[in-house]
Amino acid sequence: MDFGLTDQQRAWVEEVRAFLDDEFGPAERDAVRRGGGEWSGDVIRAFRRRLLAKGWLCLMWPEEHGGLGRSLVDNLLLMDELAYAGAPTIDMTAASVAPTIIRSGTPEQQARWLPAIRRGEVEFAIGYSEPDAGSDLASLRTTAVLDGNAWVVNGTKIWNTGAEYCTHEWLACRTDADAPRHRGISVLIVPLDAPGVGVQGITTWRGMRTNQVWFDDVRVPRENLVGERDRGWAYVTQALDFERVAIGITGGLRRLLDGLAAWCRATTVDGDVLAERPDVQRRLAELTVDVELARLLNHRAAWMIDAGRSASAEASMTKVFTTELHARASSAALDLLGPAGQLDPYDARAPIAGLAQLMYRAAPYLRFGGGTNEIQRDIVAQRGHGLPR
Amino acid sequence: MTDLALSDEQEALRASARAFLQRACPMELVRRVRTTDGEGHDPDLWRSMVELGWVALAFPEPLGGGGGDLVDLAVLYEEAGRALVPTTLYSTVEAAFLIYRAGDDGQRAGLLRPVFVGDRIVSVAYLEDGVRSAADALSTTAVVDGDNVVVDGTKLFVPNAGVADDLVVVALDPSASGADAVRLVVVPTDAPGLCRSRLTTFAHDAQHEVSFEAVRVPIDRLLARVSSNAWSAVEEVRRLATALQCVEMVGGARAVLDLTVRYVTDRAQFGRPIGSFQAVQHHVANLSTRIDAAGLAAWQAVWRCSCGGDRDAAVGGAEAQVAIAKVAAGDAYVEATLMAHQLHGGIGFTVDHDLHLWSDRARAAALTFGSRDDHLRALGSLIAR
Repeated sequence: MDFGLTDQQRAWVEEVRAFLDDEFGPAERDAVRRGGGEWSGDVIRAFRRRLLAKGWLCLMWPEEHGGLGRSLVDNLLLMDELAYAGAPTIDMTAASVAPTIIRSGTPEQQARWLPAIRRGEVEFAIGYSEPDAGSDLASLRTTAVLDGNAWVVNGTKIWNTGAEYCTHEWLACRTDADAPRHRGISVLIVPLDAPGVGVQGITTWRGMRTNQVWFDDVRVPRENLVGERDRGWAYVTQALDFERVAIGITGGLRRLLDGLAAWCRATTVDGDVLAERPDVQRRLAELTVDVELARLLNHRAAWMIDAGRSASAEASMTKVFTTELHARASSAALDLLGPAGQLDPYDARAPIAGLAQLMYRAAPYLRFGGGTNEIQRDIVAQRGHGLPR
Repeated sequence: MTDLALSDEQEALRASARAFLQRACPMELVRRVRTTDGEGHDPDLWRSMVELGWVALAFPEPLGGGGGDLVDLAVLYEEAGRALVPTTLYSTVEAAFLIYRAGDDGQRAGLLRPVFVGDRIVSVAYLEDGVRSAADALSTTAVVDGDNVVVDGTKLFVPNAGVADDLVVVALDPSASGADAVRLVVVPTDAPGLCRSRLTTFAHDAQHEVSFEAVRVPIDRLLARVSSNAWSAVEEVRRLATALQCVEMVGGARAVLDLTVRYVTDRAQFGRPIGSFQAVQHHVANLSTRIDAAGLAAWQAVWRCSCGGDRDAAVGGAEAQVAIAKVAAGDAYVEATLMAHQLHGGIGFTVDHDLHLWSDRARAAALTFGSRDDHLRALGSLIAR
């Protein structure tokens, strides 16, 4: 048993920190705030290209596909540092689409898409949810019908973050209307500039943009069907453990806590240095306990996946605990900060650069995104403890 | 986070400990030692645990120890917590650590060997009226008088003093000040002037008031004659005993969760197992998550204590790690028992059902080695620096 980092892991963290010191400066931080925290905008897209050039967005890909063949724990250490710096973390193209192509795509698909992803030439919006298919994803109704050498796609997808700048849609659609509902689903790669595709922006509470995308008789080359026809449900769900662990990262929480403690040490309110007040110390201590527990649950799931163990329940635990802590911790932080916590990040007087209010207003999305926490709790009870479905 | 697994040897130790306790520490025994005249102790079980080498496990072999480390010991504590083993195991191991950490070679050999072979049971006398952790606020005194040390004062919540043969007493030398004043004296419980009376506590574990009235012991029973070592020994041993207790508590919480999962699987209402209802499943999921998190924090604290020094600043110092673990373990164990009562309904509320045995231990253990509030206060002052 060893809870510490290896020398190699420690060196890796140092390497990432040094990179971020150089490459993620005030311009990038500002751009993230303006963009609502996603990979959008020229400055952040340039930063993404620098990460791609280092090979870091493809960290876990096998070396024969141009990746670095590194572990999930290494990837988590990277994402924790990105989040701590305030950079976007989860890149669905490199972290979810590409691994599925590596696992299940044909050799031709691997040769075509993986180098393009690695060079940053293609980027995917994830088309799973529909207005009437959320937690019950298998009820999705977007269809693809084969017509000669093309699939003809009709339907609509929602919560397609990034569709306004991505090149392609990673589309879950029904290819066999008569099969049992989990068995008739395939994954199709749809160019977002194809005739018949419409993208409509949706603005969310914190200001982050997402989209609804419509497909109206969109013709897609036959070879864009990923892997095998009607096997899409497996492709979609295989990537979910990883996604839930990625959502569970705690670098942002650590940033909030460190920033909060530093602010409390430096701030006098009504004649008292905040950090010297017992009630403030108690709040900070409670947050410290929770953030450490979140970190442990998160790294535990990654360690298990690296060790080849089944970690379905553990991945759900980290997702639930971290995402609910985002709301709780940022809300507690706002109470500590008082009126100053309301300030916009562009106000130089905003404590922790407005992180508390930004995190507070983004938190609901984490809790239902990536599979609602209710579904996650079902998974813990049913797969972790064998309770009946 | 390099390796969260136990070694093959540790897994084997866990399996054999669980099998042994299922046989040797059944619930009838747990209930029997709770009775007011039971002294919280079972001599046959004690003898077996000593023979298995549990008490001596984490001490060096030349002293008659098992040559294991704290993680090995924690494996036993988790199983002991699950089975609600009488607390004599914990108080004896804690006292032995104090003797080992603060004693010289002669004291280690002379005082520990009888413990390791089961001839003597030892415990720690620390808390007093108004003192929960601050050693410099103690009022019990230890004064050197020629070839003797004279102990005066009253200790509270001394675990298992009724069956203990020796108590490691934490006291102050009034002629010194600060950390230098701390003294550790190993006092036989049959010494003239020593008086024990059992406290009546809700969990029925044996805790005593022990008063010392001019109790004289030979000076070779004064540990750590280089005085500042006594205080650092007290702090270090308190930390590792707390970390071990966190693992014990997590073991108890896991037993409660297992019991509850079995119950909601078997219990049918509305024509189906109540464990099929989402409301029930979500309670189970929440408990499971809290217990896993507390378990990780507890094992991390044990691991951190076993490293000594400042091996890895990235995961925080031992003091913070132990405080985090104690808060998490207390919360998880208490919540597990309260939610288990909710999910069991009336049947789990009866004394015929075993659940309340863990419920008592959960709340009592959360008060031992510092409450939630005490540890949050300690952690908060670390952060404020």
